Amino acid sequence: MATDPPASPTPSGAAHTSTPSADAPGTATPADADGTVLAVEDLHLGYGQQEVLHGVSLTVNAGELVAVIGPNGAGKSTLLRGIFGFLRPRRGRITLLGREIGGLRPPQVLRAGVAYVPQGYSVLPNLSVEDNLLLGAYIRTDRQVRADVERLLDLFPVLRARRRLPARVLSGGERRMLEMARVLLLRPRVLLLDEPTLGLSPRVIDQVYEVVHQVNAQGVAILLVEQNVRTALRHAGRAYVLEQGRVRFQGRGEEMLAHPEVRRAYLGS
Amino acid sequence: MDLLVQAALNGLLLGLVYALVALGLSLIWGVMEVVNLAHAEYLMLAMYATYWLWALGRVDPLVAAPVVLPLFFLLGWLTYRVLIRRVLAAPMVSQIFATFGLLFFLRYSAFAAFGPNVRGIWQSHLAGSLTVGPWYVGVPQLAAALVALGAFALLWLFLNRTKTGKALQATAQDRVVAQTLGIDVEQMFALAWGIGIAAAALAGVFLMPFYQVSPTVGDAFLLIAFASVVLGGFGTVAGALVGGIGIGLVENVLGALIAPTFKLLFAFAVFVLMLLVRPQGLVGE
Amino acid sequence: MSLLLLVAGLALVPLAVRDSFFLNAAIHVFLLGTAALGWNLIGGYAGQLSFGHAVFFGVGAYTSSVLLTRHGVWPWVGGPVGAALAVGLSLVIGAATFRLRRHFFALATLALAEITRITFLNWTYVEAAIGLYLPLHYRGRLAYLMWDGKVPYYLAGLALFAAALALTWWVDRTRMGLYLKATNQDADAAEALGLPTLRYKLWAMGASAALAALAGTLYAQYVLYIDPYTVMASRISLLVVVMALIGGRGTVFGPALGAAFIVLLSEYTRTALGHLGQGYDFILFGALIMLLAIYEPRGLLGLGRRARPHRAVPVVEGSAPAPLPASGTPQDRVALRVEGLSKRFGGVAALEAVDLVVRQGEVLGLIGPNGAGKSTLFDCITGFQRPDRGRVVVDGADLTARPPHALAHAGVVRTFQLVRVFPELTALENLLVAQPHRGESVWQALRPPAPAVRARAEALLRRVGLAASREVPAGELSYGQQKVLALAMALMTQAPVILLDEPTAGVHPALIQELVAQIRALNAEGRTFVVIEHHMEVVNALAHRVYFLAGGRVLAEGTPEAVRQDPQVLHAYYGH
Repeated sequence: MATDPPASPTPSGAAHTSTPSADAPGTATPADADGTVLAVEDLHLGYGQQEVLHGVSLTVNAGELVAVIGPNGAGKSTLLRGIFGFLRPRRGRITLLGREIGGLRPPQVLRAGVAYVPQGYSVLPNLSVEDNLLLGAYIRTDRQVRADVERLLDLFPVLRARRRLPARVLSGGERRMLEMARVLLLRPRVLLLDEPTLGLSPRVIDQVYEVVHQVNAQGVAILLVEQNVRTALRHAGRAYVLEQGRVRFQGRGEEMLAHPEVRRAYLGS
Repeated sequence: MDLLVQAALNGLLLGLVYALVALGLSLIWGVMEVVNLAHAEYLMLAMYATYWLWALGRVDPLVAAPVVLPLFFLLGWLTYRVLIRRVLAAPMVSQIFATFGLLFFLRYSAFAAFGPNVRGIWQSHLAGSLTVGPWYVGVPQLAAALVALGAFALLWLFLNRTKTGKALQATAQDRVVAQTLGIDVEQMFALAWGIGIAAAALAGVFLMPFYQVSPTVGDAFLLIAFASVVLGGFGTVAGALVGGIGIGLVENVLGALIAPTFKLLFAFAVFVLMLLVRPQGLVGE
Repeated sequence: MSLLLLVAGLALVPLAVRDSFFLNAAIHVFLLGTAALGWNLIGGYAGQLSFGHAVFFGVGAYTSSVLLTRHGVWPWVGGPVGAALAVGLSLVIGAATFRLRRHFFALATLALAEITRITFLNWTYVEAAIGLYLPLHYRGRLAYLMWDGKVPYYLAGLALFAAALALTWWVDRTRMGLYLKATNQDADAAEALGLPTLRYKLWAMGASAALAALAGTLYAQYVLYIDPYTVMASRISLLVVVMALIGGRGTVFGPALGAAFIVLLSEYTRTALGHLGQGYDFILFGALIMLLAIYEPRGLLGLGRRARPHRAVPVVEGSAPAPLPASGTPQDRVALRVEGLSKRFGGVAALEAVDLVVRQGEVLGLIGPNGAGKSTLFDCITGFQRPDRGRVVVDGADLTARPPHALAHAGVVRTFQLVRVFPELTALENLLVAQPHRGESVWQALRPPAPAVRARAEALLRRVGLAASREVPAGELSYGQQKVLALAMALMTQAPVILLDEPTAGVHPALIQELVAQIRALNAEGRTFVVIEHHMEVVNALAHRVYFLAGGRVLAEGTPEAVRQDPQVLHAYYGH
């Protein structure tokens, strides 16, 4: 597998450690820097009799941080779940670097290079912080895992301090750190993040997004769902507005904030 | 007083065996929330396996264990793949009926194959008793208790020190999160069944030297196993241990204090009380 | 009427058949079948799976036998006494254990049965383990229910069996059957509609215990020897369940069919395979149950139903958008008030000192981001959750923390975010279950639905456009149709205040317009609605007033236009 180039500085200016082992699956390649990493075309899916998404199309390009915003019930979480394989698409395609992944089961999607952090807390509450991290590398078969874990604990001293404690004692922000650290163990091509700032205070939200940017800078394209519009548009390069299972609108960052379409989606006309 | 301590001693040793049976039940419940009504039937079958190995080939239970154990691991694994897997998504009623049908199937297969008579073994290597002060300890009981303890230790090591063991814990704690980490939860379910049934089988093998088997032996043991799990707390290894010892003590101490013929009744009464008052068990949350 | 023919036919059989083997088998079918039919009432219809019913069988057998043996009491008296004892015992057990989850309930009944058996094993008054021999010198006398030949027992057994069938048949065609089935399929939904589920479950439990006990009495009279191993064994408990399962639980003839199937197959394998035959029949039953669990939980009768052609489900078309009807006018009178309601889950405050007023005749909107506590508020109002602090006042009466059916009787019903209907009942039956239950006694429940009620249900179905689907099981309707049905059910209760939890979620956009029109029209007729919604167009079209909740607190209140511009609302969605 190709080795990675040295990491570039993050927006917050924090120093970077060397990247994890090149044997990690889904190691990002810089070659197609403007290429599409994840493409969703005309996706229809739902639960049982319900159809929640009625033909959603979007793309995520290499190195991007894309947001999906919209009111509740729009289908944002369902979209991420569908991409990761928890739901079968009824119609439409999902491709990762051109390879069809729609219809694959979650472990296969992960191996293909898509990681997913679901809504709420996705740490394992009764396992130690260290075990949580180790499990992040579950699908890795190389011998560098322990070394990488140590490096990550250096990167996140807050986790190192609590490494043997059960993960349930971590605060909301700390759990997010743990989840991001776990993601870094795998260096997926795409990361799906579902409402990473739910229930967090503004200061912690900033910290979490700092780490999200660090992950993004490592070459991981990110598709995230965010309920708070301003937060989403401050951090994301591009955003899609999802409403009632359809993409209503897409645009770049700050200019969307004042757009009447966005306001209408949340508060009606 | 001596009598009480003797009863407590007996209860402790037997309780450890109960804990081993409860362990499998608790593991299966913890990982996939299925209540295995047929659990004690595997115990019964393992006892028969031990018996026949002894009766036909004079194979001592100590030697039989390494043969019986993998066999029953496979049996548990197969049970999941063939039956349980198909009712996981069904309503709870179907799951209850599926394991209920399994109970019938296994029990009456034993009836048909082995007849209704009670059978026991003698002249195994595990025989006799030791004297500790004014009390005595039966060698087979001690052996069974030590084996149970060893099994608990091994399982604890497996769950906490191996990658697969941690993956199993992860599956039990949050199935969705486990899948996001790439864990194949189907494999974990089958593994849980394999381990759970093997644990029950191990208990059966070492019960044989001092217990008699008949096709209906599962009745009492099922309730005892459930009583242990409910007492200690569903879904945790520690819970099974605490619960099993607890039931063993309740059974023997109260039996000695009040009336030996009502031993099981006390255990079952504690069971029902716990269900009504504190269903999460002593150790559970 | 087929029932009468069946019974008459069976009664005439002994005229032709005198074979002792057959008569013995038939007697077993009748007695165990009676017990199975009894079990079916609580386990099949109501869904409480008891694995300890042998207790009642044994109590019946022992009571009448002990009274006969020790005190010379006629079994005609001893039997009902035994039944009464069994009923009493069953009510105690039921009241204590019905709230346990299904498998825990099953285990609890198993344990309680074993406890009772062990007690009887050691109780010298009933001869303990030695067993009780019924005195033979009473033979040949009707008063003592004891005969030499098998035919009288056959007829007596048949009579009891027919009575059990008749009772089941009656339950099935009256409201009680519907109520029990509804409780089985979705107890919470039933409660929310005003059904006092505990009361009916206890009735079913008592009836089932009585039947089992009477069967036990007759059994003792037949075999003339009982001990805890024969009449209180788990074998009987499990057998009774197996019969109902295989035949088809929750049906009238299922357990009877199952009993016949099992006993006859049992006897056949016993004679055909001799000594080797022991157990083979049960192996088969075990395998059969496993197969049924996987493929057809409704038993043999369910397999029979499958053979019938599938009805096509009519689709509700979205009509062209019509002008919205005028909405109602809110009165000044307060229909529902919530004061200072707080609720914590673990460390998280789901609701924090919420004050809310609902005026009669208005449509009140509840909006806010995910996790704001809106559904929890509904739960606390309708009794599904107990608030930590605060009050719920309906029409001036404090109804805080009362059970859901009490709220329904007081005039407040709710629907659920993920739609809840009774999937195996037809659309019409769903509405019949939703009829007003205030003041309804058990006796009234044991009557068929009143014609006036039926007519109202039909009218409601027509009104919401589901008339063509009246005979379709609700589980086969589309999601949107189910939502509409749930609304109709709420209307059926005649409750003046209806809480709708995301009524348009998951509904096809074409249907939403219709739904909105329906609600407005109903509001114009005087119904009060409280609606949790995320679709802002729906809120704007429906609500007279809106409350905005975030983080468990009420942040804004007013007309939809005013709330939309409230800085707190904008902040919650937009900024930080």
